[in-house]
Amino acid sequence: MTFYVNNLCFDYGSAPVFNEVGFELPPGSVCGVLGVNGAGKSTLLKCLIRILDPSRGEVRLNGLDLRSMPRRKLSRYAAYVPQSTGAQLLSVFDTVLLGRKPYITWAPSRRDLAMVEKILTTMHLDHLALRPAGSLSGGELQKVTIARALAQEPELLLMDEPTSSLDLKNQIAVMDRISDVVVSQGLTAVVSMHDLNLAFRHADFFLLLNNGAMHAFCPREEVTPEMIREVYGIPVALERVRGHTVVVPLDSHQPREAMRPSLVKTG
Amino acid sequence: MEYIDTRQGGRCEDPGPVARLYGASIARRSLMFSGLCLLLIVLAVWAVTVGSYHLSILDVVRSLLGVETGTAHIVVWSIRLPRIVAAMVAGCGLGLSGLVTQSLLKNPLASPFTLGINQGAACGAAFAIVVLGVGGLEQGAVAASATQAWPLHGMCAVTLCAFLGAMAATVVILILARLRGMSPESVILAGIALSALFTSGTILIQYFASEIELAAVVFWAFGDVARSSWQELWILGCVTLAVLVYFLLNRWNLNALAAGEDEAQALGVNVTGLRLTGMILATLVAALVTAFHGVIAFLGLLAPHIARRLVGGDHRLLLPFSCLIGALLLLGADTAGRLLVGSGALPVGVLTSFMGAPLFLFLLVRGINR
Repeated sequence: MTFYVNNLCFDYGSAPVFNEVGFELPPGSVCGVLGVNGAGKSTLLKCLIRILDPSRGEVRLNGLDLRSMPRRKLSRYAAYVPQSTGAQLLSVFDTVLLGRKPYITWAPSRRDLAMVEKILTTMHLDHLALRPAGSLSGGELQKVTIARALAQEPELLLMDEPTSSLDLKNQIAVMDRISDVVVSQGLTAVVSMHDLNLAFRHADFFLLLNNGAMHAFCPREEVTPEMIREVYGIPVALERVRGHTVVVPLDSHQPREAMRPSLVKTG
Repeated sequence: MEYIDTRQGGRCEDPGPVARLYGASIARRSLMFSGLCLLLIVLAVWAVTVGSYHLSILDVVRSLLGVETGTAHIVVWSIRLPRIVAAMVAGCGLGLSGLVTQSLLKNPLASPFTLGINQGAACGAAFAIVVLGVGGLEQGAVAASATQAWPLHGMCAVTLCAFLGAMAATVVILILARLRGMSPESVILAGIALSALFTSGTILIQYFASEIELAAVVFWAFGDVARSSWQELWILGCVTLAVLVYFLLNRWNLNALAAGEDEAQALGVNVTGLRLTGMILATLVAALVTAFHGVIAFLGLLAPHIARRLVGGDHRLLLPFSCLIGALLLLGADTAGRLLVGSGALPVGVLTSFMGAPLFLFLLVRGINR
């Protein structure tokens, strides 16, 4: 089960957003899509699941052509988690049940209901099941959206900055959960990320976008500080801390001395 | 693809406590639906009994069953029942039309009134009455003119022109929306611009009208359910039912669209196609209601909002609830109007505006506090 993208291009009329993106991912792997704001990360993800129509190129999952597949069938193979979802009146249970929509013809089966329950329980959302999704906090809502994507039983997970509205604890929890699912079920995940440290922690492959072109695609181990400097425009060092690679931005300024709080005299 | 069963080793056939809780919440709202249905039936039967000609419940039931054949039968079948059925069917249609325009455009302000459909119909009717010089108000709409030699005559022409006006508004909005890439905000703005255009068109026509024509135009614009024949009711009822079935078939798609356009596409919904077909059907119903019954303001906005308060955002429940609440509100308002004035002269459109606007504001304020 491989995810294969070749020569993918997209433009808004005359302005090209990205050109000739191509990569291949094995099952059970997470690919981090990185680049500065406006590099086309979100656009690339939307092209992969046909929310936007690429101008040319090939997208294949296990040899199946995703670009010519009927939409309903596509939604059984690939799931999409947007950057943010609007406030909505649908209950959490209904929202996750929507993930079963590609399989439901008239009414949800017992299996659909049981699966939603199972996913809600594993993601610790069961106590919120009947609340309107719009009344949840940003982090909870993001987890609900991920739960909905998992309910689609996809083989390909596309996520647009899934951790953007989460605090540190939830960032790690959500990304760990995604990594677990990806590895245990042999899925392929393409995740756009802002946080380089998070990418080094969870992504097996790096796809670096720069100025509408693919700057590099390589396994995590082969990412060099030069690549990151070329894409983000600032020099960095990659350090190992307790087994994790962390990115340290380097610039001409030395770290500022810590300020001491000055006592304010009262009376 | 067996995501949970095999790989996580869990059995997937038995819904657990959360799913049961969810099932119970659906069942509770279904029960509420049955209760409201019962309320509608009771209200309808009671509405047949009230009025200037006194009828007992027994008379009504006997007339409905065809046992009674005297004056009671005529009063029930020719005067009260068409009006009551018209109120229910028109209310149902407006509730449906309002709900789906709001859902498809993802805008709580969308309704036949804010999209300029009502104003288009009023302008069309004014055009027919003043410029074409047709439409004596003493005739019933479609049925009465069927006997006449020239089909484009009388109330039929007025109804037809009103329908064309409403559809003109619809088509302009759809074309504009298509050019602007169907952005929901631009659709509402286009609707407001069109409302202003059609309203000034109506005023212009009224300026050149004679006193009698002017009275006819103004009287037409009052939303009124008393002017329908059984023939029109059949047309309206069948169209509303067909459109309701279409949207019920698309209820999951509407739910997906509520989650967001991108999400809906990723869940397999053809969003552009659903929007276009849905808007055409929803405005068709609104245009028919307005052509037959005049401008019934606020109902298309109010009914879906009440339905959302009652059952939340699930279109599986929202669609029937919005229809039912529309029917209840319009029948209630019409019956209240008949009781208030006595002879049945107060048009229901006046009452829906009077009652609807404060009720709507109340709902908004409640919503902010919650």
